[in-house]
Parts: sequence; C-alpha cells; structure tokens
Amino acid sequence: MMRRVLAIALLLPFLADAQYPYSRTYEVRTGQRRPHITTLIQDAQGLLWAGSDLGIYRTDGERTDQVLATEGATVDALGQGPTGILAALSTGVLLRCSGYHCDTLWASDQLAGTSVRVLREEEDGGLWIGTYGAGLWHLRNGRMDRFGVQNGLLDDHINALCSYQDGVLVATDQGVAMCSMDEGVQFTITEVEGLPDNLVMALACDTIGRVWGGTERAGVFQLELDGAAPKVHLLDSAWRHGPVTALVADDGLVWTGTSRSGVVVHDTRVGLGAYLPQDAAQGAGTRVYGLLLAADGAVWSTDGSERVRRADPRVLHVPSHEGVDLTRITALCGDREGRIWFATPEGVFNHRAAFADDLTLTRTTITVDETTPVVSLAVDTHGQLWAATFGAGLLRLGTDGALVRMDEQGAGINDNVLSVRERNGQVWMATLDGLYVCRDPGQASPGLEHVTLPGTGFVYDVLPMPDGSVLAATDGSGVVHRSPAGGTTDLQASADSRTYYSLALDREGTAWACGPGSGICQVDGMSLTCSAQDRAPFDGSVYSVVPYADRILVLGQSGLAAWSPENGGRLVDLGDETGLRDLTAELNTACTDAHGALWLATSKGLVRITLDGADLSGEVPTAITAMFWAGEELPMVPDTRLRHDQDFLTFRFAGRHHAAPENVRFHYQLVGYDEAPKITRDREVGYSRLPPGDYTFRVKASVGDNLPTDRWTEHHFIIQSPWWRRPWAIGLFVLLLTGVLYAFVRVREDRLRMRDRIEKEQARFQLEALRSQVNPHFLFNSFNTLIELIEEEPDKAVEHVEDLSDLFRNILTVRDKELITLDEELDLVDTYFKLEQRRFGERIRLVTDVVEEARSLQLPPLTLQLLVENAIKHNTATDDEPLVVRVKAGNGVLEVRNADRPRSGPARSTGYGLDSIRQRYTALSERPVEVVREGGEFIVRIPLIERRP
Amino acid sequence: MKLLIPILLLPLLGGAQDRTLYRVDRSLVRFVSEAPLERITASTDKTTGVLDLDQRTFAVQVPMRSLEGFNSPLQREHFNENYMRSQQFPNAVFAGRIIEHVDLRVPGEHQVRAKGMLTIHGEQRERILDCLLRIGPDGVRVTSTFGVLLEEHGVRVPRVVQQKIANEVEVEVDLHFAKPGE
Repeated sequence: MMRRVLAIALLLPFLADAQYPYSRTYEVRTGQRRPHITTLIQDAQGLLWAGSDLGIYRTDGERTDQVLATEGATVDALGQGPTGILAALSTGVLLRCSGYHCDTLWASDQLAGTSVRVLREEEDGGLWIGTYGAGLWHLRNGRMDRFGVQNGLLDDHINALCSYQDGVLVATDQGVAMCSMDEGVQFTITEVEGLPDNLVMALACDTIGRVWGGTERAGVFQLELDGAAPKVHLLDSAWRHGPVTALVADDGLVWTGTSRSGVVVHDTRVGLGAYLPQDAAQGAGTRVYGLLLAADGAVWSTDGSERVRRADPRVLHVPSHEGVDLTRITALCGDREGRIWFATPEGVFNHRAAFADDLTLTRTTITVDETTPVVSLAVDTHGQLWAATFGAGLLRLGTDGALVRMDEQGAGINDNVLSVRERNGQVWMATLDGLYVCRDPGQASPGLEHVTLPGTGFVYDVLPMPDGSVLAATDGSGVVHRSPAGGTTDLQASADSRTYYSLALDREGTAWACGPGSGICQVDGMSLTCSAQDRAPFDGSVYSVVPYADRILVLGQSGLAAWSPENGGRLVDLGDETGLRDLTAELNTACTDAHGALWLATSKGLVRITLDGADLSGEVPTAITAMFWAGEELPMVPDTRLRHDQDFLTFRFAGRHHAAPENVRFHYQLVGYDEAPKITRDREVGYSRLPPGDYTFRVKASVGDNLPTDRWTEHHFIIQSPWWRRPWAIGLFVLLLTGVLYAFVRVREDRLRMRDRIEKEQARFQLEALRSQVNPHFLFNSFNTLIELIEEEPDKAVEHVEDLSDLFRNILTVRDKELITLDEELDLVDTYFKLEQRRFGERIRLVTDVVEEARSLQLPPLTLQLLVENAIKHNTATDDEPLVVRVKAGNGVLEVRNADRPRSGPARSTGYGLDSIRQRYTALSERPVEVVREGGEFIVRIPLIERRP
Repeated sequence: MKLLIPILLLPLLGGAQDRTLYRVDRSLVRFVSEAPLERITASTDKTTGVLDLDQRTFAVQVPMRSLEGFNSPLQREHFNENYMRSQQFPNAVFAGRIIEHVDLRVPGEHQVRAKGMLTIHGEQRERILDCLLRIGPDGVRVTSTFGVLLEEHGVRVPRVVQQKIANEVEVEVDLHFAKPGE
C-alpha cells in the first residue's frame, strides 16, 4: 500500500503539468440504474453504442436510448460491420442490431463457456470472433472456421484483433499472430522475435498502415511488418503508466488506455511526446476498459462506469505548464523552426510547438515588469526575438542571448509599442505615436525610423505587405495604407467603425482587418470591404483575426469563429467545437506555427488547434434514426408505404456534434404537412392523424448560434389511402356505376323501343287488317256475292249486308285494343267466315274445336281472322277438295291448320301477314309463333295469353 | 456461487489421470483497508484451491465468512451483511492461468503473472496479478499483493463512512500448494 501511495505521489508533479486534449464526459443511461459500460462502438450514422452489463445503449451524447436490455447477460463485445452493429453476449449469443432492433445472428454453446473479446466484420461479410479461451473464429455464409493452438495460433486466449492486409493480426496471451482465411496462421511474433512482453492486451492498425500493440508490462510497441523479419520498436522505453488495456491509433496519434492512468496520448507525427488527457473526473487510478476512435478523430473512452469520455485531439487546452501560468499570456508568436514564443507576466518563454511532458519550456533572459507588459512578439529572419512592451519600449533578443533595449531615451521610439511585425528583412512597430521601422534588424545597434501617420497616431497593429507597402490599424483613423513611396491613404470602410485592432495576411496575399464592431474586413485594393458586422457570435469585441487554411478565424469575447467568403459569408461559431466560450484575450495573441497549428492565448490558457481538413462549415451531420407508429418501430426504407391507419407517427433523429450535443438545435419539417420548418432541441417529434398523402420528413441541425446549412436529411414515405379510396377502386366504382346506369338505360330504352315497336306494329297490323278487310277484292267479292244474293236470295242478301256491317263494326271496335279474348275473336272470325262462305259455298269450311277454358284467353285482335283469311287467300278450294280450316284451341295454344295447297300464281299480299303476327307476339309472349308445314298441312300455332289481372 | 467452484474445477479434474493437481494445504489471505480515520485488517487460513502444473491453470476460493480480525465483532458483521453480502456471495474466487512458461516441477523462484477472473461480491473483473512462485520439493508457494477497488466490484460505500473505509483494499495472499500424496 505504501508503495502505491508513494508511486502516486511521485507521479503527481508530472500529472499536474500534463497537457490535455479538449475532453468532456457524458453519462450514458436511461433510468436510475447505472450500467457498467465496457465496450464502445460508433455506427455509420455517427451515433455511439455502448455495451454494458445492463444491455446495449445508443447515444448522441445528449439523448440515450436503450436498444437492448440483456436481462442478466453482459455485453462482452461490440463490433461495427457493413450490416449494422454486432454484439456478443456473455450467454454465447451473437446479435446484429440496427435501429432499435436486434436479431440473433448466431447462438453457440461453444461460445457460451467463454467470453468474446472482439468482433470484427469485414466488407465481404466475413466475421472474425476473437474469444478468450476458445480461439479465433471466422463466420462467413454460415461456414465456421476455427483457429487455435491446434493449428498454429499461439494461444486460445485472444485479447484483441485488428485488420491487417487480407487477414487479421491477433493479440493473445502468448504473443501476436497473423491469421488469414486463405493461409491460416501465417506468422507469429513472441518475445523470441523481440516482443517486449508476450501478454499483448491491445492492438491497433492505424490509417497509415502502422501496427501498434499494447502490453501488460512494457507499454506500447510499434510493429514493423514490411521487411523480411518483423521489427519491434518501443514507443516509450521508460513506460510508467502500467498495464495497457486498450489502444487506438489514428494518423500518428496513439491513444493508450491504461489500467491505472486513464488514457495516455502519444503524438508521433511531430514528436510531441506523450500527454495525459485528464480532468477532475479522470484521476489517477482510472482503469480504461474500452477506447473508440470516432469518425471525427476524437477518441471515446469508458472507465467501466456509466460515464464515457470524449477527447478531441484537435484541440489542446493548456492552462499551465511546468508551473508557469498560461492563462495570462500577453503576446504570442511562432517562428520558422516550429517554436512558439509567448510572454506572460512571469517572463518570455519558448517551447517546441507542443506541450509534451518530455519537452520543457525555455525561459528567455527577458524580464518582464508587471506594469509594462510585453504585448507583441516577432521573430525576424536572423532568428532574433523582438518584444514590444507597453511602456518600456522595444526589446531585441539576439540568438546569442544579447538583449538590446530601444526606448524613448535611447532610440527615440515611443515607449508604448503595441505591435511588432517582421517582413522582407524589415521590422515594423505600431506605437501610440505612429509607426516605426527598423530596416537593418541584424545590426548590433539597429536604427529606427519614425513614420508618422495622419490622424491620431494611435496605432494598434501594423502589417508590412509583400509589395513593400504597409497597413496600419489605428484608433479613430481607420486602416491606413502607406505606399512604399511614403504616400498614405485612409481606407474607407463602409462600416461606421474607425477603430481597428488587428491585421493579418492570408496565404493568397490578401490583408484582413478587424476591430470593435467592424466585422471582418478585407483590404480590397484601396478600400475595405467588411462583412458579418452584426453576426453572432461577435457582438463587437473582436480581438484578433487569423488566416487559417482557406478561412479567416476570428477570436473574440464569445469565442472562436471561422469565416470564409465561399461559405456564403457565414460566420461559423467554433466555440462549441473547441470549448472556447466566454473568454478574454489580449490583442496579438493568435498565431500559427510552422506545423500549421493555430495557437491562441486566452484567459482559459494556451490553446492549440489543428483543424486542417476539418469541416468548418458549421454543418452538423444529421440522421433520422427511427420512425415509430404507436410504439412500433417502422423500417426506415425510403419511400415506405404505410397503411392509412398508420397515421400516428413519431420520428427520432440525432445530430452528430459530440463536442456540444446539448447545444444542437434541430430544424425539422414534415413536407406535405408542416408549412414551414420548426425548431426543437428535442430528438423526437410526433405527428398524429396524418391524412393519407405523400410526405417527406426532413431535418437538419446546427449547433450554438450557427445557422444550419441547406443540407437536409430526408425520409420520404407515403401514407396510403384506404383501398376504397385508391384510384383503381374509384375507377372500379365509376365503371360499375356506369355499367349499372347503362344497363338500366338500356333496359328502359329497350322497353320503350319495344313498346314503340309494338305500337307501330299494332298500328300497322290494324292498318293491314283494315286494309285486308277493305281489300277491294274482299269488297268486290263481297259485293259480287251480294249481287248474286240479291238476285237469287234477297233475304240472304240482307243478311250478308248485315254480316258485312257487323264485321266492319267489330273490326272497328277491336282494332284499338291490344288484346281481345279468343271468344271475341272467334265471333269476329265467324262473321268473316260466313261472308266468305257466301262466296265460296261448300268449298271452304271452318272447323273450330275450342276448349272452354281457352275462350277467355287472349290474343291480339284480328290474328285469327288474318290466319283464316290467309288460308283462304293462299290455298285452292274446290268442290271436290274443299278447304277445311281447322281452328283448335287448348293448352294455351291456338292452332290453325289447313291442307297445304298453295294457289298457283302469286297471291297478292302485302307480306305482312305472318311476319306481323310474329313480331307482335315477340313483345307479348315468350312463347314463339310456330309456322310449320308437315304432312301436307300448313299449321300455325299461336300462343294464347293469360288475361292480365 | 456455490456451484461456481465445482464448475471451474471440472475441466481440471476431467483429465486428472495424466495431470498433477496441487491443492492448497497452507494459506493466509489478509486484507488491509487503510482509510484516513481507520485501519481495518482481517485474514483467513481457510482458502481452498487447486493448481494444474501442466496446464498452468488454477482456481482459488476464499470463504468470506472465514475472515477474522476487524476492529470489532460489529464491524465484521457489517462487513458480511452490508458490504460483501456474504449470504448471497459466500466466496471470493480467482481463477485463471499463469501467463509465463515456467516449469513448475523444477525447484526455483519465478516472478509470474496470473491472469484470470477475480470474483468478489458477485462481480467479475479480469485481473492480471503479479505473483512470486517458490517451487520447492513438497509443493509450490505463491505470494502476491494486489489492490481491489471496491467500486469495481459493485461495493458501494456510504459517504458517511468513506473516511473509515478505503476505496482500494490491499490484499496479501500467501498460499502453499502441496504436491499430491504428500
């Protein structure tokens, strides 16, 4: 115990000065229960997944959801593959999770007895499973291969894996092995081959093809596998951080999780050495269980509790170093050798560009009086340091350590120097009394030349331009341009501001200026073009403007912001990105070093920012993570078609801004429902009673005061109409209705037409009948008969005339009726026949055989008369062979038959006879009118019609 | 928990014919809690365990209720009832294997690492413990000192007694594994 206490005590001074990336701690839990998180992974959408003893959690830093409750089982490992997140449970079950849903991928008894240490899914769908005790497994297309001691793997106890070339490197308890599906175990590296320790706990294959391993006893080593024999290099031969538990590496940065000292970072790129990310939450004794290299370059770690930490290596905050307080820096500059020079009330220092633990500060011989602080520093081409003091003139520190002081009494320079800048071998000074220039800075006693400017002469900053001209930022006189010939021009800004604090030159040679309320001003020929005057986050107090990469960074009271004309003139607040908020800074306290890093001296300490390649557009990548209907998760397939009753929808979304997830604001809109986007800080929004239609849910996010970009994340879906309101159904209805209407109209029309036809037919029949009755032949014949009768039998003649008149009266009576009874018709036929008989005598005969019931049945008037008339008209009748017309009625049928003896020569007929009967009958009865010739007889059968009630 | 040890030992006992199993015959396990206001120690000699010389695997079990010492009987009761919940979790177990390839039959002294699962209070943690092996003619003597973080094993110490109980407890182990038949 005493030994340990002593060790910690020895570590303390070292810890106190350790340098830290900007880091934050997040709690991952959903209820009161605190999970022990041991493994972390990031999904394709940028969300963080955490595996614990309580289950699997998913978080964007602000909102946490429990994806799976494991009910007693522990999540041993998480892996990210092309198909989703993979999880191994202590029960031997492998799961594949996406959204809020996990499916069992594989369950094995063999896995249940051991624990899965690492899961790695490859692009081709192959899954490597490293177990502790059961060797290495490879699962692909249902085929399982196993590597273990029996086929050359050093040990069945696997601690870590990383993808290397076409296989995996495997860290075991007994060394490192290379394993591929095609060739099995290719080679092994143990202490015999130079490993510092066989017990390799962690492995990392970084983005530039380097392999790193972490051991239990000897810290971190790098493995060179290019040559014939593998080479091992120790990262730190005096490793003092204890057993390694986890390792990630990214582009030269090596992050080591330890069992006692939290996370240790080594920057191998520019030899920055090691530093410990640390704050109050991560003290000595912290064991790191898992490390995760996130897509944005930050590293997440878990200490086995519900807390996870994010450390962003792009931002280093250094509040103090080697006991020097770095929160009170008054001037800052970088030199050509990659060093950073800075002045504090304690003195002037330089440092080799990073605050690694093994690199120390160099204190210069310049002493600083608190009342006359150093306010600006510059290093000239000779390597001499120029320090401007406010109140004590100018100092020059030679490379040999010789210090030259230039002040009012000696060199005649104003004692209040505000800025010193070097270009083209000349050193320019801005003072409260105009500009001074030193044209021979290398001389032992350099001469100074006073350059007066029009106006107040209070100059905050000076910027010598490559063309020999000089810009001066003045108090009250704007930015003054002085040509090499000496002519001065006051550059008029469109803004009202006449005071400027800071000047800077970007790599294209364009000069920039800023001041209180001026916004960001570009020196455009002989004028100033200012923009973003009123934009957040800068409410006026801008301390410094620094060109950085293709952007302009401005440092002000409310933090750091990036601006570029290409970005639509947007000023992007980087305060959340960098943790720089509510700070105060002096003038001339921002610079870039020879490595391209940006240095800022603020009230929160010295800050080093490397944002090369970083997206400074202020865009927050946004994902729609899930869509729910009544608590049920719906698949996020584009153009999903939902049922008409799936109209109660909830959307969950996330914005990936892990540096400040609580400041992410979401703009969302359900296009097709919301008329305009709405803003929320929630990660969820619900809609109820959505009418059927075509919808697009879209969301975009921004952080802090930034405005979101125009890039939306969208999910398109359709709520379908109920089937009876879909086009096909409506079409069908219309068709059906049309059909019914058509049928109705058709039937009605048919009926009307039929009636019309019947009427016509009737009329024609009547006409025909009438005509037949008044047929001149009939009349002539009748009259001839009458004449004969008058001569021979006058009594009969009278009778004949009476019959004739009876007939015509009857015809007139019945012809308008549609139907008459058979009885009536028979009467009529009798009369008619009597008349005809008077003419033909015994040559024609009518035989009627009508059953009594048939008499009351009906038929169209004059039908029988017509048939009888036809019979007489078309057949020969002689005394030898009289024409017998038999009329028989029974069974609802009236039958007229006569011997078929057609008269020679065409009988005069309108041809309407039988046809018109037929036609009338089609409308009156379903039964047909039969006309047959059989057995030498001509037979016509007519259906009789029941009397209608 | 009671089943754990038999389960752990099963693979060891399975092929016992051609293996040499050493069993613990003398033991001393002691813990020290060094808090600002109080120092608590307790020890037991009731440790059981086996060591497989060929596989270099081992399992050791300490019955929690056998720990004696403490500063008062009440403290011991609190230890068992409130903190370790010995009724529910009667044993502390460490089972694993020896990483270094050491021939345990040849007498000598070896500094080795034992990697395995340490189960206390029902919570398992993987630990790698530095051990000193002294191989003598009659068996193997193992000594080790290591720290146990109470928080790691789910033992929550109320704030009021934090000045009396260290959050890291120092454990000293001295075990003698005897050769079978001796």
